Amino acid sequence: MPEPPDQIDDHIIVASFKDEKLREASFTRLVRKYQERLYWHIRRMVVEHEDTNDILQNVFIKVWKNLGEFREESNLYTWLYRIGTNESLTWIEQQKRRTSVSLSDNEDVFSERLTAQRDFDPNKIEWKLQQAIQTLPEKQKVVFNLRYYDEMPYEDMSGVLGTSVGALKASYHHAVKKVEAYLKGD
Amino acid sequence: MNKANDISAELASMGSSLAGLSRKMPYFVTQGYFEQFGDSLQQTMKEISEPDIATAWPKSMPYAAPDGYFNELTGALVAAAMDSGLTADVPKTIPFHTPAGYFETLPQQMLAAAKATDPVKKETRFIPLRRRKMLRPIQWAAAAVLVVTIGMGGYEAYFNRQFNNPEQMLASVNNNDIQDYLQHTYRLDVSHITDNNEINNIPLDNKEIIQYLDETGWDMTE
Repeated sequence: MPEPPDQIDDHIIVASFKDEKLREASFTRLVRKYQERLYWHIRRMVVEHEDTNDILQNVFIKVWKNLGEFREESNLYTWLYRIGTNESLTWIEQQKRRTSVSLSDNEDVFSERLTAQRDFDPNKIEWKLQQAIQTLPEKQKVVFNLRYYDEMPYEDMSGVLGTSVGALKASYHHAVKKVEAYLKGD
Repeated sequence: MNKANDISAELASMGSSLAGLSRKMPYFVTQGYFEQFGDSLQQTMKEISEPDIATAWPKSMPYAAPDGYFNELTGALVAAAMDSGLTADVPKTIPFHTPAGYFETLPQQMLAAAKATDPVKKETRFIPLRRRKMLRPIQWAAAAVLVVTIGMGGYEAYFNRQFNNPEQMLASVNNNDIQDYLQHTYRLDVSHITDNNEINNIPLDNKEIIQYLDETGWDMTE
């Protein structure tokens, strides 16, 4: 079965990056292609734009440093999402340690950030959904976001998170139930 | 393949109300952010690849603390705390007790202890090279003797430990040996007793047996 055009494009990006003369151009192409997707993936976890921007920059700096060694055992985009997810989770852990809060307090911290967002409206379902998602454990939050918003196939998600497809399906199922319960209880 | 329909269909199959909800992101992003992100990223990468100019800056502080400041700091902090009333409610009596006459004898004890720590002036010993070389084998031999001694003691203690308990001691002796001993020493033929199954039904406590043996002259420690 032929590869979709998107993946062929990724092969070209990876191959041309390894050429010294084409490196900057291929990197620029890669950034333009994935910046928005990665931005929203990160922002759904950390909420604040400034924090998202910092993490996103760190992600692409890591990509710049390591894309030359990328062996294409996974898709480029699952590799990028893996870096983005790990950077976000690491940042969240660092925030927890800095503020010395427990996990349940951490949920309140991000909920507060949410309510402080510009145009926040608790009556709008999009904001309520974000509040519901913030009550999920970190990994489950990632699973929910990747499936619900990024529409990522479970097989690709398994490459991002290093978890089996079955476990991911179960995690997503539980996350949906929790989000529903939150929305109904509101 | 329409992924959005797949997700909605999956949620519908779960019976979830999320199936019909909008998936629009409500967060605000400044206009032009994504168009400018590439340039901003390049700028950041350029900055981090440049040499750290901070390494050329001096590390010495231009400020100076007043003379004796740190020597007096502890006392000043304690006084400040006491003035602030932080210790107002803390009782001043110390709950510990000291032995009678402790403080009367303390000066002599301290003097004796202090004298004991005076360094003893020793002449520097000069050990000829030949003797220095001989010292090493002597040290190894001493260590070996020590190890063997400890090992033998441990062996002795381990195997003898098994027989500290009289019951264990008796249990370790073969029945035939016991019978032979009784027959030889006391001309007592116990076979007609042991062959009798009723002997096993006699309710005898081990302590009672040991007490009987003690009373009749058996030395369990031999």
